[in-house]
Amino acid sequence: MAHVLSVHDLSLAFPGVQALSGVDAEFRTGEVHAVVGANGAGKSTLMKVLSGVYAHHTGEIRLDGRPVRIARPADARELGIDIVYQEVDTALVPSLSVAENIALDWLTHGAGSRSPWVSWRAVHALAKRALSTLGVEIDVRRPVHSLTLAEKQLVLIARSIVEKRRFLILDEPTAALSRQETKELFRVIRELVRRDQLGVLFISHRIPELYEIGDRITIMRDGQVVASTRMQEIAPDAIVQAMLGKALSPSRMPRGTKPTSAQAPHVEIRNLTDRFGKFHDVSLYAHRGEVVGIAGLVGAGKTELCRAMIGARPIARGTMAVGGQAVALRSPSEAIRKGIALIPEERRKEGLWIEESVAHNLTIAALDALSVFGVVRPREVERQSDRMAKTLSIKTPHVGQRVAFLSGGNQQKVVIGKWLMRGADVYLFDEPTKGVDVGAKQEILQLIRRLADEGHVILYATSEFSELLQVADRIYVLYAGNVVKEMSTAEATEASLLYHATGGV
Amino acid sequence: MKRDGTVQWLSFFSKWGVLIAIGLLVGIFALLLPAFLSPSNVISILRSISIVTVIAIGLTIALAVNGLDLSIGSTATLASSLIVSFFVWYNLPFGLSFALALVLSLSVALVNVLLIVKFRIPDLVATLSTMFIFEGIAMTYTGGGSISEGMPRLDGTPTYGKIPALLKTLGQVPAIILIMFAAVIVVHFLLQHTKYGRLMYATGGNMEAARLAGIPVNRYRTLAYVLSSFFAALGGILIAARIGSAQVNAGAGYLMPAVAAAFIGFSFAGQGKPNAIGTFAGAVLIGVLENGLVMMSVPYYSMNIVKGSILALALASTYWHQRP
Repeated sequence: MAHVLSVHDLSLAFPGVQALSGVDAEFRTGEVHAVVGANGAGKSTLMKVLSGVYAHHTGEIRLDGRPVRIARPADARELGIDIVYQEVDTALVPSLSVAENIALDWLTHGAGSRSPWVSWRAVHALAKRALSTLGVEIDVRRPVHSLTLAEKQLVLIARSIVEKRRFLILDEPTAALSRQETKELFRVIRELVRRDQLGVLFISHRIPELYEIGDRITIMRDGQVVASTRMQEIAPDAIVQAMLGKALSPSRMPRGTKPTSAQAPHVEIRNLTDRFGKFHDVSLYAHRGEVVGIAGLVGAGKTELCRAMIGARPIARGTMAVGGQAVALRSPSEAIRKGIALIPEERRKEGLWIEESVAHNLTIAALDALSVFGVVRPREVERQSDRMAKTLSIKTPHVGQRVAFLSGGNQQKVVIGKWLMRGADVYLFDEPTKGVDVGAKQEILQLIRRLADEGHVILYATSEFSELLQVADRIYVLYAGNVVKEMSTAEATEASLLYHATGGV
Repeated sequence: MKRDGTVQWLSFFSKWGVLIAIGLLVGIFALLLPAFLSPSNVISILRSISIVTVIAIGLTIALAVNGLDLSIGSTATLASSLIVSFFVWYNLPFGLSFALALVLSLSVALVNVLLIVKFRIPDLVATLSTMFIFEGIAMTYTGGGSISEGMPRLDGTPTYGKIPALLKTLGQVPAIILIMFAAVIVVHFLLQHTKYGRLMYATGGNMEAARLAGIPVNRYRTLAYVLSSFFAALGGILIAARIGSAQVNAGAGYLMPAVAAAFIGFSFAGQGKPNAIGTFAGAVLIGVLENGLVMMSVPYYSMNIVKGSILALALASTYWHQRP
């Protein structure tokens, strides 16, 4: 008999954000139910409510019509609901074997926890049984750290079906998988749905694959359900339309200098291919004065591409030339000598010294110019930092302030300032507006436009397509590690970018 | 408001705790022991901490790149064995012996760098293994025994080499204290006022950010381990100068006090990171405590209880209020 999990008038607020407002939705066993929405639409929040991570919601959750209370993950599992998160590594113990990872819940609070002794035979038998249910061959004695991402995902799915489940939530399981791995995952999902009558809630940004795997689809936007239907009753462009709603039209920042067609591109990349397969044969070019967008969703390979372009990630093949000169992509220090600078996505981890002062952060890449025979001139450091802080209007009482006390937007300006202080030719921005408030976002976009107008080359990688429409001159769309489309911003719309970034079917 | 007050007090204590502790100890010992503040005793304290300080100063540089060097004790042993053997066994001139002992001891750094930078072994365990390796090499070199003037070589042939007076002078006041101050000042200047120091701290503070900022992090890590070994070797030569011979495992006893001094110095003046002046203050704290307790007839074998407790307290004050 089919079970029905439903939510009624579900709302959830965080300080300052209404994450879900009045959501009604219904999920059945024996079906794959796709849940889609743009960044911040509330789909992950809804899944977290169903799996017991957030309990402070209003409204009701019902299973087969009866109200149920899901206050903790254990409550969800009790009801037969489990979730596999996108960040698989947070749920696995890398040094333990596949068998132990699959049996982890069973060992800690399942039947296996009743005895102080571990029966290795039971653990291995349990793991083998779970994997064979999925029809997957993985040696259960292998340590999990030696598995591929796709295998890790299968291990987690195996873990969650050790106990009898009704619903399994997969949060963007395919974001980082190759085509082949995705096929294998889909085979496993179909098997579980068909044979065991499992209900799968499937979150994805890739619209074409939803038609392969989904029976129903629920589309969310701004914390609400905007559409819910059978998969075959909705066309891809209608999905995109529903995800975006009425598109905001941000004001364009037109290009300052006109391109001179005679000029050769300043940056030229040919067939750049990642050694670990995250992007393939990427070729692109950029002129001086141009902001070139690299549009792609999470997992499309933007970050990996950016890192490879400054030599921080090994490539399998391909070339990069700046100003007609080849750049050996061996180390960031070499790339920076050629004038290529990266403003990384994870700014606190990769771009800043949080416990150090603004002045320290602004000058760290430019110490050569600020020292005499290796001795740093403190007055000069302060003077130059002051000047840069004013230029970028970094809001800080003084440049001796620790960066940790600055807001996200101001921290980002410090990261950018670090490169302006040193001076670079080519600036790579990787999601520069992540965690930045609206006001600072506009300032950063204007700064990027200005840098280009001064004759620099800007490559701007982001999943926030509206920003590219504002600031970019030309856009490459990255999907699953491949450039699938190149277009001028004039012919691009948010819907067309999303269409190509989701696979373009 | 009250909470703010408490927080301010705590941060004041963690900033100046080392100096307050030194002041308190000096006050107490001066009250109890009339001879404690006599010039000769003050000099004796400084002399007693000079070798630890020189070795700890090197460790401070390794810590600045967020590395730990446990091989410094063995490096000191190796340097002291080498320099004494050059004099006694081979009758080499002073300058050559001194330079050779320093340079050969840097081989420890090369192995450390190979293990840590190239093979990416965590610093703690990598230098733990080089600690054993070079302790063994030094012992094998000396045949498991000590070397002093007039002692025959390993093969039994007699020796006629003398330990030069100049070396012995280096181990006496004032030279040994001046060397210590010079080491502290030079490294303070290196870390605080030069580009290289800034980039070492940048490497230690956030290696990924440093790498993406184009800082050749491996070069600075290498430099830091080389300097760490250099100062440990210098400390080893001072040990030989002080005792006039090469003793088995002479440097081993300096490892823990040096680690303690450097870690006690972290919180000095609110820096929250390894620094030369703080390391010196840490060494002074340990030296004052040791000297006073000896004068109060606390047996030497109980001393480590006190030293260990001081280290624990200092670490607590450094890490206690740190939150991610």
